[in-house]
Amino acid sequence: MADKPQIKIGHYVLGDTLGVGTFGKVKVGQHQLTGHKVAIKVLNRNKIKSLDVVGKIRREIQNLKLFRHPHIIKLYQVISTPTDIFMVMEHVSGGELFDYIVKHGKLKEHEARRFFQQIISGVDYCHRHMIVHRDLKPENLLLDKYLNVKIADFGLSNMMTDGEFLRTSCGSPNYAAPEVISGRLYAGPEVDIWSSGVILYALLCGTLPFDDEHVPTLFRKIKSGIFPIPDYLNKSVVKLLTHMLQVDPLKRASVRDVREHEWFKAELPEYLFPAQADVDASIVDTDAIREVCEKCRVTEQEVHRALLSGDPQDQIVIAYNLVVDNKRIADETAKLQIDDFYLASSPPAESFMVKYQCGQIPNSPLKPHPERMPERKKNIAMKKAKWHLGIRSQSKPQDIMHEVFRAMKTLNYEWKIVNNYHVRVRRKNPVTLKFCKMTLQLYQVDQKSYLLDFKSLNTSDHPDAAREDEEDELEGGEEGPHQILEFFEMCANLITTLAR
Amino acid sequence: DENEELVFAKFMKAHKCYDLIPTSSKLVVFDTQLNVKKAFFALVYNGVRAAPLWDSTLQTFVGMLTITDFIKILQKYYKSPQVKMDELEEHKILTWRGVLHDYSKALVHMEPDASLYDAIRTLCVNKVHRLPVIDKSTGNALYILTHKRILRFLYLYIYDLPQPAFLQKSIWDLQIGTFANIATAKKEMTLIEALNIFVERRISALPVIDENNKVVDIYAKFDVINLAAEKTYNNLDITIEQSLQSRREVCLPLGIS
Repeated sequence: MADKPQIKIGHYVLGDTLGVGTFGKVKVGQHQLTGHKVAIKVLNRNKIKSLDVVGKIRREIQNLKLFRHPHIIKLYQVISTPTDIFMVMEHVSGGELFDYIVKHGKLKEHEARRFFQQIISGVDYCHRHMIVHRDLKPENLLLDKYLNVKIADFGLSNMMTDGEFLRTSCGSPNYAAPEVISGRLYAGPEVDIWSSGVILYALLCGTLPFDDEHVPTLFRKIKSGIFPIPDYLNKSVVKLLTHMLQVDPLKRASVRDVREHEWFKAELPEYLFPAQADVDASIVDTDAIREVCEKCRVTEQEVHRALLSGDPQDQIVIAYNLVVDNKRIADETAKLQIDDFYLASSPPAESFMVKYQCGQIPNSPLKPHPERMPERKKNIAMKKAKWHLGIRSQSKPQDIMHEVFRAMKTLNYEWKIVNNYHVRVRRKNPVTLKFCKMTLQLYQVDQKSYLLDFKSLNTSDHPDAAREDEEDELEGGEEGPHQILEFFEMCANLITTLAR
Repeated sequence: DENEELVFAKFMKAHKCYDLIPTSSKLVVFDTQLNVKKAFFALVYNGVRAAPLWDSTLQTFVGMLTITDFIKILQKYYKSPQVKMDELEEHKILTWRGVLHDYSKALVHMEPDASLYDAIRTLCVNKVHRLPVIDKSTGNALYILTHKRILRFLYLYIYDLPQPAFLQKSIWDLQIGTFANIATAKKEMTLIEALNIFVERRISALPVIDENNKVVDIYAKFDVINLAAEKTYNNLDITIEQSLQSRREVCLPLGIS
């Protein structure tokens, strides 16, 4: 291996071929310093429409870099050479959704819905930013290690010459819409809906709605729009499928129809379709304009002119909208970081310990952070202690209470009986001379075991606490209270005495 | 602009210690009757780096137990790999505090309503790194405040604040940090020597250098807790290099290909 010369693209060392897609080979790349893995798509320039024509296509690829969505493979960088274009993209480790279906057969309805919701969320995002996929199929749907869908190759079909597109689609036209195989030139967002419908069918049934080894027969089936409906399919989802697989693109469901469908809306995570902030479109975001100027290397006037032109297909307008959208997402991320600041600050002990996450390589020159809690060596099979406050016993309830009273007597605690199995207890703090109060209650847990529960009455917000106050007129010492620790001490003393 | 220069100070004055306390967090308290060795093991076991100390006789918090205590105990009582440190085995926290003459000093702590500015001053003036926040009305310890937590809090809002000009300057220009008379350690330095430096110079970390005075690693106070985690504190004659080696082994569990 060592004698094989390393090929580097940017800072990434090219590795094995991950797959051969519609547009060329995809290779794994590893950052020479951090070991960070990426997927690098190698596009041969011969297969791509004349790139230098007005720079429109170039700008379109540049815009793809601005796409940011949890279920779309992120494009980090585009590197051009005279012969090839390298697209440096997010690498995910879960394989293709296609393989997942092959391995698991038809999925459970909720599982299929989860994948489908993620796909539609990604498709909707791209459509809103004027990009149609045109080649959605399970091979383009990848999974990360948490089994989240990541759509690959969005926007790439637009770069192919018209004839090239179908010829290169690797002989899998099963997902193509009727108007696509009919070779009509225009293919808009509705073709992605058709493909998504086919994918949904595949997820639910483990088979394809239109299938035939003989391609002309397959094409005929697709154009007829007739597909088998297995009995086990839920009526609601059948309605959705038939709406999505309408041969007439005008009658076919729109993304909006899908989003409003009851089957789709069930268990829908909120983040997939974040509420659009009521942004007044007539107010331009000057920060966003500046960012567009920087990223697309255009002047402010050009951006203003493009925005005023009212042409939603204008690449500068698209770039502007993406930047505005990303800012909104960044704001939401900032909110999440604040939530995280208050939540994740108390990790279980395990999380202090260094664990290697998938995708990190052990010979990375990056050193682990020195201030991590060390892992106990040898993985001692020590069971993590479970914490209970209370005592479990299998003695008779009267006997347990008898022992409790004896222990309290030994400890000089004072008590009031609420009922046979429920007492209020107090202890005079020897230093502060104030009373620390709690209740003891015996519960039956199951047939033969009982639990003696301890409850602090010190906190003033406890409903039982107020009642005690009237009798609590003793003047205390200088020292203030230490509610929790005094309560703990009281419990600990009682438990130790009972254990004797 | 003087106003801009003071933006961080104003920010810290405008926020209370309470604002940094997580909604839920783990706090471990040790009774001063606890054996010191057990206490250090308990720090590791619970994944915490410091614990307030509760004195049952006085019915109050009397101090903190941190990794620095562990270092000081090792540094004070270590003789050789052959001689067991009886003090570490037998001392209660209370006994150890007696040795340190820590009885007289009151526990440095904050109230939740105190400003972060006051907390930062307290951290600086008292030269401490762990600052317990104790609620006066209930007497409960709520949280242990650290430099890191305060910085993280500042960072959450830093882009919403005006950027003072000094942020554009280098740390050298501002002379933030130590630029002269830096304590370093050669790879061959023994652990006990390193511990002595930690205690004598009151520093938190030592840059580890090679023959050419090039920094190759860092040995931090925090690394010392490894000795408790691995129960290898009986031999402090090993070199820093060997110790850091084991850090790497700990960090890279087997079975990763």
